[in-house]
Amino acid sequence: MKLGHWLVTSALVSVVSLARAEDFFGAVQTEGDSEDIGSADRVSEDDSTGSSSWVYRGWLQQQAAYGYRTPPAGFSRDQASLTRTETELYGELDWKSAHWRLRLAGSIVHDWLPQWSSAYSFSEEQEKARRWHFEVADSYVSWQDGDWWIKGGYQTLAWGEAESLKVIDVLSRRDQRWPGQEDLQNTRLPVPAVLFNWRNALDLVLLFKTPTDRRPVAYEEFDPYISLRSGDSRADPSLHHRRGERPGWALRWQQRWRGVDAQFMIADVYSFETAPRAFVLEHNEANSQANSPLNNDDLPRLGNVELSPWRQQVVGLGVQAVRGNWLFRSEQAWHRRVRLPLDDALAPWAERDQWRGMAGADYNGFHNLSLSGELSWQYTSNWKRDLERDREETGAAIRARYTLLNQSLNLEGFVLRLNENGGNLLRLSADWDWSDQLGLSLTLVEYSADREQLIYPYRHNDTLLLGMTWGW
Amino acid sequence: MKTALVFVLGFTLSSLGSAGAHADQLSAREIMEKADTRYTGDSSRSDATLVLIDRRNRERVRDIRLYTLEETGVEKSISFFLSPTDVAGTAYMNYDYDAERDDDSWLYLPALKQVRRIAAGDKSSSFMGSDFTYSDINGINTDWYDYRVLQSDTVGGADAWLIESTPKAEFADKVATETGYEKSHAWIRKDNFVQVQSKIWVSRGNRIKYFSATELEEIDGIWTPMRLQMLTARNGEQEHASVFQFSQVMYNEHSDASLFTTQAMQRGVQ
Repeated sequence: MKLGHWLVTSALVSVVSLARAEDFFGAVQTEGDSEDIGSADRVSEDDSTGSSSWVYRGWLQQQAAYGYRTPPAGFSRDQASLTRTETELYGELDWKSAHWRLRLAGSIVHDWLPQWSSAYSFSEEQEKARRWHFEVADSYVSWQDGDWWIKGGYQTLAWGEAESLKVIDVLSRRDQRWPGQEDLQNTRLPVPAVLFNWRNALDLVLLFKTPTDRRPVAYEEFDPYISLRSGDSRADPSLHHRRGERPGWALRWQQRWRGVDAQFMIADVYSFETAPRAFVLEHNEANSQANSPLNNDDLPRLGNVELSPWRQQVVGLGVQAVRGNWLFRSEQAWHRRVRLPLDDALAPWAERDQWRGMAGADYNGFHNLSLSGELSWQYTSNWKRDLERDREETGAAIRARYTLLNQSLNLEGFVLRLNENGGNLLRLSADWDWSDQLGLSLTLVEYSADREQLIYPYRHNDTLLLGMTWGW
Repeated sequence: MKTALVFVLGFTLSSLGSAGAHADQLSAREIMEKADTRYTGDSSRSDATLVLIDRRNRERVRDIRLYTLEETGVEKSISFFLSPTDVAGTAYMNYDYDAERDDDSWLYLPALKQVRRIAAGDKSSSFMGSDFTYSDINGINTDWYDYRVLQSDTVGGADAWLIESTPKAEFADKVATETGYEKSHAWIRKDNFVQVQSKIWVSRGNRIKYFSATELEEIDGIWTPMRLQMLTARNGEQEHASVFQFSQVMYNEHSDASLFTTQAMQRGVQ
């Protein structure tokens, strides 16, 4: 009886299991089952016939950053506090026809912090930099036919992958206002340029009136010239930023074989960093009241500093090779006429040549986890002891990215040891897509440096960032 | 077996022609090879909505435009992501070689404004977060398996063979590495050799995948399932599911090799 009951029960369980299994072949109901394909909403029907069409996208982003340590004296922020509460409205419009394409993109940005917070005082220049302003993103017109593709306008030219040192990535401008805290799309900034591409192999780029990196204004927490400030903006030396006037050019040949990509490049361009070319000293009675470490009762006041990019020539090679789950990559370049700081902070930077290199690897063999790491180095030729930098310097970067929860949560850890004896940066981030439209992000950025390292004055600018993005 | 995501998008007219009188005399291997070597067009273009569904039935929806091109010794495919906003502009390109060697793959991320080569060695990993793996998308080698017909069955009112595929001993490790699967049951329709269902035993995690291809339409003479579904079940419970819903499928509309270049990835959706 018991055996019979067991057999009947087993049979029923088997039938039920089979039925459940077979259900898995049934159509899964989706919210889109009753709707047309989503892309049809965004791409006009005419597109399928090859005629023109418009596509748009955009997002509204709100970001708040909190500096949870007190920076050293000299910066405008003198306590743990919010460092920005920024609203960004980004829009991107694309139009295309058979051969032509047009993209117009940009953001309007406003930081509400000066209005919302009185935790510390902002200068007029700081307030102005945080007011509503428009930032041009990649905006260009392009034409393609046969072997030729020509693209002119504001465009981001990302030619290298090294994260711890610029090796062959010498055509892209950076945002230096919040180093290590920028969004992925703001890692590089566009520059005015015309690109001629032939057969997907040869690139010729012409650059005009190249802007320099975006810099923080005076007394902001990453002010690169904080050592020149006196604490009183009226007594500060005036910094004159020049931009390169001569057009720059770059040529790249790319070749792709099975498993291997290679690119060879040469460039004659301005740097995006600036170096002091001249210091003008003035005698001023007020000098004796100033607190700058560079000022002294016995010394004349530092009146003007002329800063300008330097013209450099770069010859480089980049290689990526795939083997199973591994991607190996390397970049090597000779930089001619690079400007380097001297031990004497009031001397114009010296001109030297450098060999820069990077070797790294990515591994994608783990489920939902990608790992990457790189080592970089630079060697300064005709090095002399008066240079602030060592003859040989190294850097490194390690990145781990884990995706989970239906691709809705991305966790990323990034450790950067800056080349040029710069210091260290740790970035931990979690990006959560609440829905296809709404994303939330939480990022922690920690800086560390020894006294002699480049980011030592900024070592307490550790920041917690909270962001929310609504896209359409 | 060499077919892109469109691996079930079409079966050959020649297959159809051979399906009639001799169909029941075919061996399991011959059936699978006929299903595998079907003509899916020298090139194709389609739009697809990829829906990712988790165990709580929360959905993520991606709109994609897909192109494929068959060239001697290599099948090229390029996918342009149209939406949602955070992935719009992303492009993925793959060169799938006939020879036993790794595919070439590149990814363009609009946030980086850069095309990057990626390692595509692990074909058992998920395709864009879906239940489809790269081996599902790009195909595997039919020579690695033994086949046997288990029975005749009916799927959606159509007669089908139920065929079991198990890896040959000498390829067992390779199959496990490349696909992450132990064995599979495939339902092949007798009238047109379309693979309409599969039950796939996953090597790890006590998981079973259920594949179904439905809404068959004959487009330019090629039988094309407009809906592909892959559902992953663990211990008898649905864990995750993915649905490709195709539209505007066209075959042999283009033969432009320049569409399958890193430059095209940067130019954006064609």
